Amino acid sequence: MHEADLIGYLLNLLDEEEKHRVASSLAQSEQLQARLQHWQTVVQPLGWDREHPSPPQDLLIATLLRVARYRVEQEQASSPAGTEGPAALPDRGPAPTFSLRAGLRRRIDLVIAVAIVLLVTLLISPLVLEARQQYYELLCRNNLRQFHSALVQYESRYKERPGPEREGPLAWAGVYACQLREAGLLSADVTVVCPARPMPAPDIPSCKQLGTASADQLAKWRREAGGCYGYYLGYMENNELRRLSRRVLEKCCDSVNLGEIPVMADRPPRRSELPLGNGNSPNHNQRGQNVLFYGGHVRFVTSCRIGTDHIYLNRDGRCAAGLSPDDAVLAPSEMPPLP
Amino acid sequence: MFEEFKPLDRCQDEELIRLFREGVTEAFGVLVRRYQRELFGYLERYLGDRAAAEDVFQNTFLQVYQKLDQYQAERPFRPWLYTVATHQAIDAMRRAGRRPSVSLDVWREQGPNGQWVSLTSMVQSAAPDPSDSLDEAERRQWVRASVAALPEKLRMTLILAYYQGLRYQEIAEVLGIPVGTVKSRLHAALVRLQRMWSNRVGDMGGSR
Repeated sequence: MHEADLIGYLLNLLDEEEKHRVASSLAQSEQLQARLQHWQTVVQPLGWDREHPSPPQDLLIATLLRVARYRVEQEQASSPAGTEGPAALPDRGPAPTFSLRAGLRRRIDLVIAVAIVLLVTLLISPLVLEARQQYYELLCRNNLRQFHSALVQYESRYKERPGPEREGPLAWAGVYACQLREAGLLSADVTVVCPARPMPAPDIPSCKQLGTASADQLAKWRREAGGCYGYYLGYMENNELRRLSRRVLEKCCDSVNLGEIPVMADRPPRRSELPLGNGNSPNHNQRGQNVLFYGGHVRFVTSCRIGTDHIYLNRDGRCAAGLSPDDAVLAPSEMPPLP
Repeated sequence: MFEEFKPLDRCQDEELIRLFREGVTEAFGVLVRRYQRELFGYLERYLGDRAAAEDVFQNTFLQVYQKLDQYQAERPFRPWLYTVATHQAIDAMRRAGRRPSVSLDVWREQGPNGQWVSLTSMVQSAAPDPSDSLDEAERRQWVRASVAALPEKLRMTLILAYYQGLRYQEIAEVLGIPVGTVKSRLHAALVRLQRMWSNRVGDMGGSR
Protein backbone atom coordinates (compact mmCIF):
# COMPACT_ATOMS: atom_id res chain seq x y z
CA MET A 1 0.00 0.00 0.00
CA HIS A 2 1.25 3.44 -0.89
CA GLU A 3 1.99 5.91 1.87
CA ALA A 4 -0.42 8.40 0.27
CA ASP A 5 -3.28 5.97 0.93
CA LEU A 6 -2.38 5.83 4.61
CA ILE A 7 -2.12 9.62 4.73
CA GLY A 8 -5.42 9.87 2.91
CA TYR A 9 -7.01 7.51 5.41
CA LEU A 10 -5.60 9.48 8.32
CA LEU A 11 -6.79 12.84 7.00
CA ASN A 12 -10.08 11.56 5.58
CA LEU A 13 -9.19 12.32 1.97
CA LEU A 14 -10.33 9.02 0.46
CA ASP A 15 -13.64 8.09 -1.06
CA GLU A 16 -15.73 5.51 0.77
CA GLU A 17 -14.52 2.54 -1.21
CA GLU A 18 -10.84 3.38 -0.71
CA LYS A 19 -11.45 4.04 2.96
CA HIS A 20 -12.91 0.54 3.47
CA ARG A 21 -10.05 -1.03 1.56
CA VAL A 22 -7.42 0.72 3.70
CA ALA A 23 -9.31 -0.03 6.90
CA SER A 24 -9.45 -3.76 6.18
CA SER A 25 -5.74 -3.82 5.28
CA LEU A 26 -4.90 -2.01 8.49
CA ALA A 27 -6.87 -4.49 10.56
CA GLN A 28 -4.69 -7.30 9.22
CA SER A 29 -1.24 -5.74 9.42
CA GLU A 30 0.65 -4.43 12.43
CA GLN A 31 3.30 -3.07 10.11
CA LEU A 32 0.71 -0.88 8.40
CA GLN A 33 -0.58 0.23 11.78
CA ALA A 34 2.94 1.29 12.74
CA ARG A 35 3.25 3.29 9.52
CA LEU A 36 -0.08 4.94 10.19
CA GLN A 37 1.16 5.80 13.67
CA HIS A 38 4.24 7.37 12.10
CA TRP A 39 2.16 9.67 9.90
CA GLN A 40 0.01 10.58 12.86
CA THR A 41 3.14 11.80 14.62
CA VAL A 42 4.21 13.78 11.56
CA VAL A 43 0.84 15.44 11.17
CA GLN A 44 0.19 16.12 14.83
CA PRO A 45 1.97 19.52 15.09
CA LEU A 46 -0.17 20.87 12.25
CA GLY A 47 -3.07 20.69 14.67
CA TRP A 48 -1.56 23.55 16.65
CA ASP A 49 -2.57 25.91 13.85
CA ARG A 50 -5.82 24.24 12.90
CA GLU A 51 -8.18 27.12 13.50
CA HIS A 52 -8.94 29.40 10.56
CA PRO A 53 -7.79 33.01 10.94
CA SER A 54 -10.71 35.31 11.74
CA PRO A 55 -11.99 37.25 8.72
CA PRO A 56 -12.25 41.05 8.89
CA GLN A 57 -15.46 42.20 10.49
CA ASP A 58 -16.76 43.93 7.38
CA LEU A 59 -15.80 41.20 4.89
CA LEU A 60 -19.37 40.11 4.21
CA ILE A 61 -20.63 43.65 3.62
CA ALA A 62 -17.57 44.66 1.59
CA THR A 63 -17.97 41.58 -0.63
CA LEU A 64 -21.64 42.18 -1.27
CA LEU A 65 -20.95 45.83 -1.99
CA ARG A 66 -18.35 44.85 -4.56
CA VAL A 67 -20.82 42.53 -6.27
CA ALA A 68 -23.51 45.21 -6.05
CA ARG A 69 -21.21 47.83 -7.56
CA TYR A 70 -20.51 45.49 -10.46
CA ARG A 71 -24.20 44.93 -11.00
CA VAL A 72 -24.97 48.64 -10.94
CA GLU A 73 -22.13 49.32 -13.39
CA GLN A 74 -23.44 46.61 -15.70
CA GLU A 75 -26.90 48.11 -15.64
CA GLN A 76 -25.54 51.58 -16.31
CA ALA A 77 -23.45 50.31 -19.20
CA SER A 78 -26.41 48.56 -20.77
CA SER A 79 -28.84 51.48 -20.41
CA PRO A 80 -29.15 53.75 -23.49
CA ALA A 81 -26.89 56.81 -23.45
CA GLY A 82 -28.50 59.92 -22.06
CA THR A 83 -31.27 58.19 -20.14
CA GLU A 84 -31.87 59.57 -16.71
CA GLY A 85 -31.91 56.40 -14.62
CA PRO A 86 -31.72 56.35 -10.87
CA ALA A 87 -27.96 55.96 -10.97
CA ALA A 88 -27.18 57.77 -14.18
CA LEU A 89 -23.66 59.10 -14.46
CA PRO A 90 -23.42 62.75 -13.49
CA ASP A 91 -23.40 65.43 -16.14
CA ARG A 92 -20.32 67.53 -16.56
CA GLY A 93 -21.86 70.92 -15.95
CA PRO A 94 -20.46 74.26 -14.90
CA ALA A 95 -19.88 73.03 -11.34
CA PRO A 96 -18.37 69.63 -12.04
CA THR A 97 -17.22 68.78 -8.56
CA PHE A 98 -20.56 69.37 -6.96
CA SER A 99 -22.57 67.48 -9.57
CA LEU A 100 -20.05 64.67 -9.38
CA ARG A 101 -20.71 64.35 -5.68
CA ALA A 102 -24.45 64.36 -6.18
CA GLY A 103 -24.11 61.65 -8.82
CA LEU A 104 -21.76 59.68 -6.62
CA ARG A 105 -24.26 59.84 -3.79
CA ARG A 106 -27.13 58.57 -5.90
CA ARG A 107 -24.95 55.76 -7.08
CA ILE A 108 -23.88 54.86 -3.57
CA ASP A 109 -27.52 54.60 -2.56
CA LEU A 110 -28.25 52.24 -5.43
CA VAL A 111 -25.19 50.08 -4.77
CA ILE A 112 -26.15 49.77 -1.13
CA ALA A 113 -29.70 48.89 -2.04
CA VAL A 114 -28.49 46.10 -4.32
CA ALA A 115 -26.08 44.84 -1.66
CA ILE A 116 -28.85 44.71 0.91
CA VAL A 117 -31.06 42.76 -1.46
CA LEU A 118 -28.21 40.28 -1.84
CA LEU A 119 -27.92 39.96 1.90
CA VAL A 120 -31.29 39.58 3.57
CA THR A 121 -34.97 39.99 3.07
CA LEU A 122 -35.28 42.05 6.23
CA LEU A 123 -34.63 45.60 5.14
CA ILE A 124 -34.09 46.77 8.67
CA SER A 125 -32.61 50.20 9.03
CA PRO A 126 -29.60 49.40 11.26
CA LEU A 127 -28.33 47.07 8.58
CA VAL A 128 -28.80 49.66 5.86
CA LEU A 129 -27.00 52.20 7.99
CA GLU A 130 -24.18 49.82 8.74
CA ALA A 131 -23.73 49.01 5.06
CA ARG A 132 -23.77 52.68 4.21
CA GLN A 133 -21.21 53.52 6.89
CA GLN A 134 -18.92 50.72 5.86
CA TYR A 135 -19.17 51.73 2.23
CA TYR A 136 -18.29 55.34 3.09
CA GLU A 137 -15.32 54.08 5.07
CA LEU A 138 -14.13 52.12 2.06
CA LEU A 139 -14.51 55.14 -0.23
CA CYS A 140 -12.66 57.29 2.29
CA ARG A 141 -9.80 54.78 2.48
CA ASN A 142 -9.55 54.75 -1.31
CA ASN A 143 -9.47 58.55 -1.31
CA LEU A 144 -6.61 58.60 1.20
CA ARG A 145 -4.70 56.09 -0.91
CA GLN A 146 -5.01 58.50 -3.83
CA PHE A 147 -3.60 61.21 -1.61
CA HIS A 148 -0.67 58.94 -0.81
CA SER A 149 0.22 58.76 -4.50
CA ALA A 150 0.09 62.54 -4.77
CA LEU A 151 2.19 63.00 -1.61
CA VAL A 152 4.82 60.53 -2.81
CA GLN A 153 5.07 62.30 -6.16
CA TYR A 154 5.39 65.63 -4.38
CA GLU A 155 8.19 64.29 -2.21
CA SER A 156 10.07 62.82 -5.13
CA ARG A 157 9.92 66.22 -6.83
CA TYR A 158 10.60 68.54 -3.87
CA LYS A 159 12.49 66.12 -1.57
CA GLU A 160 9.99 66.62 1.23
CA ARG A 161 6.28 66.23 1.86
CA PRO A 162 4.05 69.30 1.60
CA GLY A 163 3.28 71.02 4.88
CA PRO A 164 2.74 74.31 6.63
CA GLU A 165 5.32 76.99 7.14
CA ARG A 166 6.20 78.27 10.57
CA GLU A 167 4.44 81.62 10.04
CA GLY A 168 2.83 83.73 7.35
CA PRO A 169 -0.01 82.95 4.91
CA LEU A 170 1.10 79.31 4.52
CA ALA A 171 1.18 78.56 8.26
CA TRP A 172 -1.83 76.22 8.56
CA ALA A 173 -2.37 72.48 8.27
CA GLY A 174 -4.64 72.47 5.21
CA VAL A 175 -2.09 74.25 3.05
CA TYR A 176 -1.00 70.81 1.85
CA ALA A 177 -3.98 70.86 -0.54
CA CYS A 178 -2.82 74.19 -2.05
CA GLN A 179 0.72 72.87 -2.45
CA LEU A 180 -0.50 69.68 -4.13
CA ARG A 181 -2.77 71.69 -6.37
CA GLU A 182 0.02 74.06 -7.35
CA ALA A 183 2.21 71.06 -8.17
CA GLY A 184 -0.56 69.73 -10.43
CA LEU A 185 -0.96 66.63 -8.29
CA LEU A 186 -4.60 66.99 -7.26
CA SER A 187 -6.30 64.92 -9.93
CA ALA A 188 -10.03 64.55 -10.40
CA ASP A 189 -9.85 61.27 -8.45
CA VAL A 190 -8.77 63.02 -5.28
CA THR A 191 -11.03 65.09 -3.13
CA VAL A 192 -10.52 66.75 0.24
CA VAL A 193 -14.13 65.89 1.01
CA CYS A 194 -14.65 62.67 2.94
CA PRO A 195 -17.40 60.64 1.24
CA ALA A 196 -19.04 60.19 4.65
CA ARG A 197 -19.46 63.98 5.08
CA PRO A 198 -20.82 65.16 1.78
CA MET A 199 -20.41 68.86 1.11
CA PRO A 200 -19.54 70.97 -1.92
CA ALA A 201 -15.85 70.63 -2.68
CA PRO A 202 -14.07 73.71 -1.34
CA ASP A 203 -12.15 76.16 -3.44
CA ILE A 204 -8.44 75.36 -3.21
CA PRO A 205 -6.29 78.40 -3.96
CA SER A 206 -2.71 78.42 -5.19
CA CYS A 207 0.06 79.40 -2.77
CA LYS A 208 0.50 82.61 -4.74
CA GLN A 209 -3.16 83.53 -4.22
CA LEU A 210 -2.71 82.99 -0.50
CA GLY A 211 0.10 85.54 -0.44
CA THR A 212 -2.11 88.27 -1.87
CA ALA A 213 -5.46 87.39 -0.25
CA SER A 214 -7.40 89.71 2.03
CA ALA A 215 -7.62 88.71 5.70
CA ASP A 216 -11.23 87.56 5.30
CA GLN A 217 -10.52 85.53 2.20
CA LEU A 218 -7.44 83.96 3.81
CA ALA A 219 -9.45 83.00 6.90
CA LYS A 220 -12.08 81.32 4.70
CA TRP A 221 -9.48 79.38 2.74
CA ARG A 222 -7.66 78.37 5.91
CA ARG A 223 -10.80 76.88 7.31
CA GLU A 224 -11.99 75.13 4.16
CA ALA A 225 -9.15 74.20 1.81
CA GLY A 226 -7.91 71.22 3.85
CA GLY A 227 -11.42 69.80 3.67
CA CYS A 228 -12.47 66.95 5.92
CA TYR A 229 -8.98 65.71 6.59
CA GLY A 230 -6.38 66.39 9.22
CA TYR A 231 -2.81 66.73 8.00
CA TYR A 232 0.64 66.33 9.54
CA LEU A 233 1.60 69.66 11.10
CA GLY A 234 5.35 69.08 11.05
CA TYR A 235 7.73 68.63 13.98
CA MET A 236 10.18 70.79 15.85
CA GLU A 237 13.92 70.21 15.71
CA ASN A 238 16.47 72.71 17.01
CA ASN A 239 13.69 75.24 17.21
CA GLU A 240 12.99 74.80 13.49
CA LEU A 241 9.75 73.50 12.00
CA ARG A 242 10.47 70.45 9.82
CA ARG A 243 8.38 68.65 7.24
CA LEU A 244 8.40 64.93 6.66
CA SER A 245 10.92 63.51 4.24
CA ARG A 246 12.43 60.08 3.92
CA ARG A 247 15.96 61.46 3.73
CA VAL A 248 15.72 63.31 7.04
CA LEU A 249 13.68 60.63 8.75
CA GLU A 250 16.10 57.87 7.90
CA LYS A 251 18.85 59.83 9.60
CA CYS A 252 17.01 60.59 12.79
CA CYS A 253 14.64 57.67 13.25
CA ASP A 254 16.66 54.58 14.05
CA SER A 255 14.10 53.01 16.27
CA VAL A 256 10.95 54.20 14.52
CA ASN A 257 9.33 52.37 11.67
CA LEU A 258 9.01 55.18 9.13
CA GLY A 259 6.15 53.51 7.33
CA GLU A 260 4.07 53.65 10.52
CA ILE A 261 4.09 57.43 10.96
CA PRO A 262 0.53 58.78 10.49
CA VAL A 263 0.47 61.56 7.88
CA MET A 264 -3.20 62.21 7.19
CA ALA A 265 -6.56 61.19 8.62
CA ASP A 266 -10.18 62.10 8.97
CA ARG A 267 -9.99 65.39 10.80
CA PRO A 268 -10.48 65.63 14.55
CA PRO A 269 -13.52 67.35 16.04
CA ARG A 270 -13.28 71.12 16.36
CA ARG A 271 -13.94 72.88 19.66
CA SER A 272 -17.06 74.35 18.06
CA GLU A 273 -18.39 70.83 17.58
CA LEU A 274 -18.89 70.11 21.25
CA PRO A 275 -19.43 67.63 22.72
CA LEU A 276 -16.14 66.16 21.62
CA GLY A 277 -17.22 62.69 22.73
CA ASN A 278 -14.42 60.17 22.50
CA GLY A 279 -12.28 62.57 20.47
CA ASN A 280 -12.67 60.56 17.30
CA SER A 281 -13.32 62.28 13.99
CA PRO A 282 -16.87 63.45 13.31
CA ASN A 283 -16.56 62.18 9.71
CA HIS A 284 -17.62 58.65 10.61
CA ASN A 285 -19.94 59.50 13.49
CA GLN A 286 -17.05 59.27 15.94
CA ARG A 287 -16.77 55.52 15.46
CA GLY A 288 -13.15 56.03 14.46
CA GLN A 289 -11.09 57.44 11.63
CA ASN A 290 -9.22 56.31 8.57
CA VAL A 291 -5.52 57.02 8.95
CA LEU A 292 -3.01 57.19 6.10
CA PHE A 293 0.51 56.20 7.14
CA TYR A 294 3.78 57.33 5.58
CA GLY A 295 4.23 53.85 4.11
CA GLY A 296 1.01 54.21 2.14
CA HIS A 297 -1.33 51.89 3.99
CA VAL A 298 -4.64 53.13 5.34
CA ARG A 299 -6.31 51.74 8.46
CA PHE A 300 -9.58 52.49 10.18
CA VAL A 301 -8.74 52.93 13.85
CA THR A 302 -11.30 53.25 16.58
CA SER A 303 -9.13 55.30 18.92
CA CYS A 304 -7.19 58.55 18.58
CA ARG A 305 -4.19 56.74 20.01
CA ILE A 306 -2.03 54.51 17.89
CA GLY A 307 0.32 52.84 20.31
CA THR A 308 1.43 55.65 22.57
CA ASP A 309 0.95 58.40 19.98
CA HIS A 310 -2.18 60.55 20.03
CA ILE A 311 -2.67 61.36 16.36
CA TYR A 312 -4.39 64.68 17.03
CA LEU A 313 -2.17 65.98 19.87
CA ASN A 314 1.54 66.20 20.43
CA ARG A 315 3.31 64.74 23.45
CA ASP A 316 2.59 67.95 25.36
CA GLY A 317 -1.11 67.36 24.80
CA ARG A 318 -1.42 70.29 22.36
CA CYS A 319 -2.64 70.53 18.79
CA ALA A 320 0.70 71.86 17.59
CA ALA A 321 3.79 70.65 15.74
CA GLY A 322 5.20 67.40 17.11
CA LEU A 323 8.23 67.22 19.36
CA SER A 324 9.88 64.61 17.13
CA PRO A 325 9.12 63.13 13.69
CA ASP A 326 7.11 60.27 15.14
CA ASP A 327 5.10 62.60 17.37
CA ALA A 328 2.55 62.98 14.57
CA VAL A 329 -0.15 65.62 14.92
CA LEU A 330 -2.84 65.55 12.25
CA ALA A 331 -4.60 68.87 12.53
CA PRO A 332 -7.73 70.32 10.94
CA SER A 333 -7.23 72.72 8.08
CA GLU A 334 -7.05 76.04 9.91
CA MET A 335 -4.63 74.99 12.67
CA PRO A 336 -1.17 76.63 12.65
CA PRO A 337 1.87 74.53 13.59
CA LEU A 338 2.83 76.97 16.36
CA PRO A 339 -0.38 78.37 17.88
CA MET B 1 -47.70 19.59 -3.26
CA PHE B 2 -46.06 22.67 -1.81
CA GLU B 3 -42.36 22.59 -1.23
CA GLU B 4 -41.70 22.62 2.49
CA PHE B 5 -40.36 25.95 3.71
CA LYS B 6 -36.75 25.69 4.78
CA PRO B 7 -34.65 28.55 6.18
CA LEU B 8 -31.86 29.53 3.80
CA ASP B 9 -29.25 28.93 6.47
CA ARG B 10 -30.16 25.24 6.44
CA CYS B 11 -30.05 24.84 2.67
CA GLN B 12 -27.19 23.02 0.99
CA ASP B 13 -24.86 25.13 -1.13
CA GLU B 14 -26.28 23.71 -4.33
CA GLU B 15 -29.82 24.51 -3.21
CA LEU B 16 -28.79 28.09 -2.50
CA ILE B 17 -27.37 28.40 -5.99
CA ARG B 18 -30.58 27.03 -7.45
CA LEU B 19 -32.67 29.43 -5.38
CA PHE B 20 -30.49 32.36 -6.37
CA ARG B 21 -30.90 31.48 -10.03
CA GLU B 22 -34.63 31.38 -9.44
CA GLY B 23 -34.58 34.92 -8.08
CA VAL B 24 -34.10 34.43 -4.32
CA THR B 25 -31.34 37.04 -4.28
CA GLU B 26 -30.55 36.84 -0.58
CA ALA B 27 -29.35 33.25 -1.08
CA PHE B 28 -26.13 34.79 -2.39
CA GLY B 29 -25.48 36.59 0.91
CA VAL B 30 -26.03 33.33 2.78
CA LEU B 31 -23.32 31.68 0.67
CA VAL B 32 -20.85 34.50 1.27
CA ARG B 33 -21.55 34.43 5.01
CA ARG B 34 -21.22 30.65 5.12
CA TYR B 35 -17.81 30.65 3.50
CA GLN B 36 -16.33 33.85 4.85
CA ARG B 37 -14.34 32.22 7.64
CA GLU B 38 -13.33 29.06 5.80
CA LEU B 39 -12.40 30.61 2.47
CA PHE B 40 -10.77 33.67 3.98
CA GLY B 41 -8.70 31.31 6.13
CA TYR B 42 -7.60 29.41 3.04
CA LEU B 43 -6.63 32.59 1.20
CA GLU B 44 -4.77 34.07 4.13
CA ARG B 45 -2.79 30.88 4.67
CA TYR B 46 -1.98 30.65 0.99
CA LEU B 47 -1.23 34.31 0.28
CA GLY B 48 0.32 35.08 3.65
CA ASP B 49 -1.17 38.55 3.49
CA ARG B 50 -4.40 39.58 5.17
CA ALA B 51 -5.18 42.53 2.91
CA ALA B 52 -4.53 40.49 -0.24
CA ALA B 53 -6.70 37.68 1.13
CA GLU B 54 -9.53 40.14 1.71
CA ASP B 55 -9.28 41.48 -1.82
CA VAL B 56 -9.12 38.01 -3.40
CA PHE B 57 -12.05 36.83 -1.28
CA GLN B 58 -14.18 39.67 -2.63
CA ASN B 59 -13.04 39.03 -6.19
CA THR B 60 -13.80 35.35 -5.81
CA PHE B 61 -17.44 35.98 -5.00
CA LEU B 62 -17.64 38.58 -7.74
CA GLN B 63 -16.41 35.86 -10.11
CA VAL B 64 -18.93 33.41 -8.68
CA TYR B 65 -21.64 35.96 -9.35
CA GLN B 66 -20.39 36.61 -12.88
CA LYS B 67 -19.86 32.94 -13.79
CA LEU B 68 -22.91 31.34 -12.26
CA ASP B 69 -24.11 30.40 -15.73
CA GLN B 70 -20.96 28.31 -16.13
CA TYR B 71 -21.58 26.40 -12.91
CA GLN B 72 -23.01 22.94 -13.56
CA ALA B 73 -25.86 22.39 -11.16
CA GLU B 74 -25.20 18.67 -10.73
CA ARG B 75 -21.67 19.22 -9.46
CA PRO B 76 -20.80 20.11 -5.86
CA PHE B 77 -20.36 23.83 -5.26
CA ARG B 78 -17.50 23.77 -2.76
CA PRO B 79 -14.71 22.47 -5.04
CA TRP B 80 -15.90 24.86 -7.74
CA LEU B 81 -15.66 27.74 -5.28
CA TYR B 82 -12.14 26.69 -4.32
CA THR B 83 -11.19 26.48 -7.99
CA VAL B 84 -12.36 30.05 -8.56
CA ALA B 85 -10.62 31.25 -5.38
CA THR B 86 -7.37 29.50 -6.24
CA HIS B 87 -7.27 31.00 -9.72
CA GLN B 88 -7.99 34.41 -8.28
CA ALA B 89 -5.23 34.02 -5.71
CA ILE B 90 -2.69 32.98 -8.32
CA ASP B 91 -3.73 35.88 -10.58
CA ALA B 92 -3.42 38.34 -7.71
CA MET B 93 0.09 37.12 -6.99
CA ARG B 94 1.07 37.43 -10.63
CA ARG B 95 -0.32 40.96 -10.82
CA ALA B 96 1.62 41.88 -7.71
CA GLY B 97 4.69 40.49 -9.39
CA ARG B 98 5.69 38.04 -6.74
CA ARG B 99 5.54 34.32 -6.39
CA PRO B 100 2.81 32.91 -4.18
CA SER B 101 4.87 32.39 -1.13
CA VAL B 102 5.00 33.84 2.30
CA SER B 103 7.88 35.81 3.64
CA LEU B 104 8.55 34.52 7.09
CA ASP B 105 9.94 37.89 7.99
CA VAL B 106 6.55 39.45 7.39
CA TRP B 107 5.10 37.66 10.39
CA ARG B 108 6.56 39.14 13.44
CA GLU B 109 5.88 38.16 16.97
CA GLN B 110 6.72 39.67 20.27
CA GLY B 111 9.37 37.57 21.96
CA PRO B 112 9.43 36.61 25.64
CA ASN B 113 11.34 39.75 26.59
CA GLY B 114 9.06 42.04 24.61
CA GLN B 115 11.46 42.34 21.68
CA TRP B 116 10.18 41.84 18.13
CA VAL B 117 11.52 38.76 16.42
CA SER B 118 10.87 37.43 12.96
CA LEU B 119 9.36 34.01 12.54
CA THR B 120 12.37 32.95 10.53
CA SER B 121 14.49 33.34 13.59
CA MET B 122 11.80 31.70 15.69
CA VAL B 123 11.82 28.63 13.48
CA GLN B 124 15.59 28.52 13.41
CA SER B 125 15.90 28.82 17.13
CA ALA B 126 13.00 26.67 18.23
CA ALA B 127 13.79 24.03 20.77
CA PRO B 128 13.95 20.37 19.66
CA ASP B 129 10.41 19.70 20.67
CA PRO B 130 8.51 22.93 20.31
CA SER B 131 5.77 21.66 22.57
CA ASP B 132 8.26 21.75 25.44
CA SER B 133 9.13 25.39 25.29
CA LEU B 134 6.56 27.34 23.28
CA ASP B 135 3.23 28.61 24.41
CA GLU B 136 0.12 28.14 22.33
CA ALA B 137 0.51 31.25 20.16
CA GLU B 138 4.18 30.52 19.55
CA ARG B 139 3.42 26.95 18.56
CA ARG B 140 0.83 28.16 16.12
CA GLN B 141 3.24 30.62 14.53
CA TRP B 142 5.98 28.00 14.53
CA VAL B 143 3.78 25.61 12.54
CA ARG B 144 2.62 28.39 10.23
CA ALA B 145 6.18 29.38 9.49
CA SER B 146 7.11 25.78 8.73
CA VAL B 147 4.21 25.38 6.31
CA ALA B 148 5.03 28.72 4.71
CA ALA B 149 8.54 27.47 4.02
CA LEU B 150 7.24 24.66 1.78
CA PRO B 151 7.39 25.07 -2.02
CA GLU B 152 4.20 26.59 -3.36
CA LYS B 153 2.68 23.50 -4.97
CA LEU B 154 3.26 21.33 -1.92
CA ARG B 155 2.02 24.05 0.41
CA MET B 156 -1.19 24.58 -1.52
CA THR B 157 -1.92 20.84 -1.59
CA LEU B 158 -1.26 20.54 2.13
CA ILE B 159 -3.51 23.50 2.93
CA LEU B 160 -6.37 22.15 0.81
CA ALA B 161 -6.03 18.67 2.29
CA TYR B 162 -5.31 19.32 5.92
CA TYR B 163 -6.77 22.73 6.74
CA GLN B 164 -9.64 22.91 4.26
CA GLY B 165 -10.56 19.24 4.45
CA LEU B 166 -10.97 18.66 0.71
CA ARG B 167 -10.66 15.07 -0.49
CA TYR B 168 -8.03 13.88 -2.94
CA GLN B 169 -10.49 13.92 -5.80
CA GLU B 170 -11.70 17.42 -4.97
CA ILE B 171 -8.17 18.78 -4.70
CA ALA B 172 -7.38 17.29 -8.08
CA GLU B 173 -10.37 19.14 -9.54
CA VAL B 174 -9.45 22.41 -7.86
CA LEU B 175 -5.85 22.32 -9.02
CA GLY B 176 -6.60 20.70 -12.38
CA ILE B 177 -4.10 17.88 -11.87
CA PRO B 178 -4.38 14.07 -11.67
CA VAL B 179 -5.26 12.51 -8.30
CA GLY B 180 -1.93 10.68 -8.33
CA THR B 181 -0.10 14.02 -8.46
CA VAL B 182 -2.12 15.30 -5.51
CA LYS B 183 -1.16 12.21 -3.51
CA SER B 184 2.52 12.52 -4.31
CA ARG B 185 2.53 16.25 -3.52
CA LEU B 186 0.88 15.73 -0.16
CA HIS B 187 3.26 12.92 0.66
CA ALA B 188 6.22 15.10 -0.35
CA ALA B 189 4.91 17.99 1.75
CA LEU B 190 4.69 15.85 4.87
CA VAL B 191 8.10 14.32 4.26
CA ARG B 192 9.56 17.80 3.96
CA LEU B 193 7.86 18.98 7.13
CA GLN B 194 9.06 15.91 8.95
CA ARG B 195 12.61 16.53 7.69
CA MET B 196 12.41 20.22 8.56
CA TRP B 197 11.37 19.44 12.10
CA SER B 198 13.78 16.51 12.51
CA ASN B 199 16.72 18.54 11.18
CA ARG B 200 16.02 21.18 13.70
CA VAL B 201 16.12 18.58 16.42
CA GLY B 202 19.39 17.32 14.94
CA ASP B 203 20.86 20.81 14.72
CA MET B 204 20.00 21.57 18.26
CA GLY B 205 21.36 18.25 19.45
CA GLY B 206 24.62 18.78 17.58
CA SER B 207 25.15 22.23 18.97
CA ARG B 208 24.93 21.14 22.55
